Amino acid sequence: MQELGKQQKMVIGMVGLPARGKTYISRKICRYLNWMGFKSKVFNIGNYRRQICGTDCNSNFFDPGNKDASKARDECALLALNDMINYLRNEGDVSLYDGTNTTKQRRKLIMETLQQKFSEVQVFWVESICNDEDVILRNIQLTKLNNPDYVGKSSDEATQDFQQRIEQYTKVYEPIDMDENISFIKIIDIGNDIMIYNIQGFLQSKLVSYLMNLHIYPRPIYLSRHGESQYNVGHKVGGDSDLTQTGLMYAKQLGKYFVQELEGNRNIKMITSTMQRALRTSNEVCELLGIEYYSLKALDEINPGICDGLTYQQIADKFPQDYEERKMNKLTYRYPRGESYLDVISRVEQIIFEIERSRLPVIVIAHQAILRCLYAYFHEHEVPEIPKLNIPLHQVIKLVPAAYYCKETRIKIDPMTGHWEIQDEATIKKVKSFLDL
Amino acid sequence: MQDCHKSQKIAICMVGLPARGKTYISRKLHRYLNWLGYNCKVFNIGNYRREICGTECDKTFFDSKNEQATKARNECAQMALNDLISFLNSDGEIAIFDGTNTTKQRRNMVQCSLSQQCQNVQTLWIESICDDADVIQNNIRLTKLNNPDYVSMNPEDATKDFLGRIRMYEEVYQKIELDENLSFIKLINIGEDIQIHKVKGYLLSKIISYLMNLHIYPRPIYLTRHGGSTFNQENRVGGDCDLSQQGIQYSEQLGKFLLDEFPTQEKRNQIHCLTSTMKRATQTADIVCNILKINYLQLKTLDEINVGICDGLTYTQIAIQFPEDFAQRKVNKLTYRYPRGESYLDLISRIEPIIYEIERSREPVLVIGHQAILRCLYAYFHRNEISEVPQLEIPIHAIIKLTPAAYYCEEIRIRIDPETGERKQIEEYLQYERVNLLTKKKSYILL
Repeated sequence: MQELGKQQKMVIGMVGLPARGKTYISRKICRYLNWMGFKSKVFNIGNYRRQICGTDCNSNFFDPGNKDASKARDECALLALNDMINYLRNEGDVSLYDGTNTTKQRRKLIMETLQQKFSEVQVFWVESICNDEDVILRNIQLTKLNNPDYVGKSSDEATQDFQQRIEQYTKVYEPIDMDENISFIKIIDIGNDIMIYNIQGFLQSKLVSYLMNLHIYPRPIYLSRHGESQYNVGHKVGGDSDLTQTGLMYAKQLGKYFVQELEGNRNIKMITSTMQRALRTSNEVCELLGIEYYSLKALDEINPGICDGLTYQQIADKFPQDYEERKMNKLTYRYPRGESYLDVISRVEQIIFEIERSRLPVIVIAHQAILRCLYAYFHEHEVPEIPKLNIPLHQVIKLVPAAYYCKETRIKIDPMTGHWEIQDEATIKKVKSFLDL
Repeated sequence: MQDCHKSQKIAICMVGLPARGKTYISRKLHRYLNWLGYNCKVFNIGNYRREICGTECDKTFFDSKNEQATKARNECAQMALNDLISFLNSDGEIAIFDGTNTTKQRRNMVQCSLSQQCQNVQTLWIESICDDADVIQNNIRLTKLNNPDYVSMNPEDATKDFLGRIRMYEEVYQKIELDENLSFIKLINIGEDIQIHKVKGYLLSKIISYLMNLHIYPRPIYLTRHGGSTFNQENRVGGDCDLSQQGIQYSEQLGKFLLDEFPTQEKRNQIHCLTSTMKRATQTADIVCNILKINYLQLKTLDEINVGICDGLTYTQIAIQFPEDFAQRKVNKLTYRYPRGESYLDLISRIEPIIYEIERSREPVLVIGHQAILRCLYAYFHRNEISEVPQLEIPIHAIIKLTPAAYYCEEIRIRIDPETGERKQIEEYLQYERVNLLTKKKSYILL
């Protein structure tokens, strides 16, 4: 969805004490914006501090009375700010400034620096406030103990030091005030209370709607294609064909998988498209589980327009120019009278909100192009990769949101034997990317 | 999308001093929710008070120390509430309780009644706070002076009395506080500042997002179909054909018309022009925007309804080739989905994001679209019943100008002759609406 009018570059500044979910929120926003087509990047002040001051900083480093350390920390903040501005000047659309920014003075400094160096930019602040001790402790355990700052320390030591660090920040914390004259959203206690002030523009509006839907319930998301269809066998695109015998067997085996996986829990949400092959698959699964499904047109497969019902070979023969165009840019190419992957992303956005919002497990039974778009969002793939992502038939992708990423498991289900093969992927890959923040 | 979420009933209760836009918000929400397909109704306490106590109530009636009047007012509130509860307990899905509800005591009474007497209801409180004297004065001028309460008074006396009424309420006004344990949203100074507390759920989140985009800038919205196409001439559906010769002429005349509507280039530059990705629409937009020297935005979401397997056929051919479908569509044109295509309900779902964008925009909007799409858009702005959508008249070679006013949209329709460029106003809907308001639909009487 595009804005009416020109979209300005934007800086999103985070505010909050340590362990309040600022990095979690920045990364979620970054992922959402990138997926929507806005080039975004997170600039984490902590990373700059680690690079410049080293990782052996105990809580004393964060004492506001410690003049040398304060100076060093301010320098890191400004370095991150400069990099952020450069990014926006070049290819970036949105920068996220992930740091505590807990004093009015710091926020004023940032606003003034931006005004000086890049006045055309819109600035939007996101403050995360949390007073729930349990949530804070859990945050520390989930995200800080793996932090490079605490390598080699016991978890008790690390927790204690981190809590002291929080106290240093608390001494000087000034929550955002309306007299600072900045646009902001305050998220209190994971969205129990939200305050919004002076939002301007399309993107800020969308972000607020997005943030209102976030929560930290670790509910699983299951993605699966419909069982094998007749068109699949004939290598044809489009159509509204029925399942083959094999496809039907997959549907039944899928049902059995979920019966075991969900252990009698009927409190789940299942969504599918309006196309026969998906409906039949969902029917089989729901009969075994004893639940209902919802069919949404938004989940229908990509519309191949005039190529509907043709094989890829026939398309190459009848529409050689289009065939070439699609090969070159599969993301933006739009089938004549049909859709492009970008159209599908736009179409599927409401589903993303729906899944984010849900605190119940979600099962999506849909189609290849659709699942590529959904999967890319949850698994943080670059948008240009979307049309090539591997989403084969007869496989369930299970995504469980963890601290900063989704833990992915793929379950291959053999339609004939019902045998499952579990592939546990990506956890290692994601831990690495956290350090690269 | 809404079927997933129809399990709970919803009661929305307004809070705020008089002239703070409560009825405006109630009616906007009512329109939006009905357009989405929910059975929604507004219960305005003022209307109940007028029916029971009459319309000759000056400001002393609203004095909290006036025991008899207070008793009468409480009874009216209770009656409105009872009707609301009956509505939700039968086939109503969303009810809006439009009244001041300015004391904790009143809110507590309402909240308790709702939780005790309604099965499975979620409540949302919307408090509108405004301290901008100009805005309040403007509100009074726009909406109160036509109020039945002031039918016999001159505007100056009416304004004085109304300001007096507001003072009566101010004496006992208690803003919503956290200890009342209510789910609420506070809109302060027309959404400059918004506070949200304990709002969860699909529909409530949607309502919040919708409210965040509202404003009171009276910008015009122009709706027009693309110029006549070759398929239009042959009475065919679907397709992606070019403009006919007449269609090209219309586009040129449309451009000239808009040049007159927006006399300076500065004003023209403010127009947001939206169109679909289909040739007949983009060709129209090309010509119009060339004349206006502005850009336009192509959105696939504005593409005409997808007629699936009937694409390219005439209505007669459809009747012959797919007689069952033809009959089904006649019976229920709203829900009927073309095989491999869409239904009007799918369309409404599809264009919802456009509604948000148009609501949010403070500058003039020009939509060059297609018949089914414009029926859906028009129905939203014009508060038509959802069942009427597939039959709404959106003629070719005509432009509809909608200007949001206090509680409705002023509408002007102008037919533009493609050859001569002659402009003829078809009907003025404003007059029609006023008659309806006063005689037939009492619930929409301006407060």
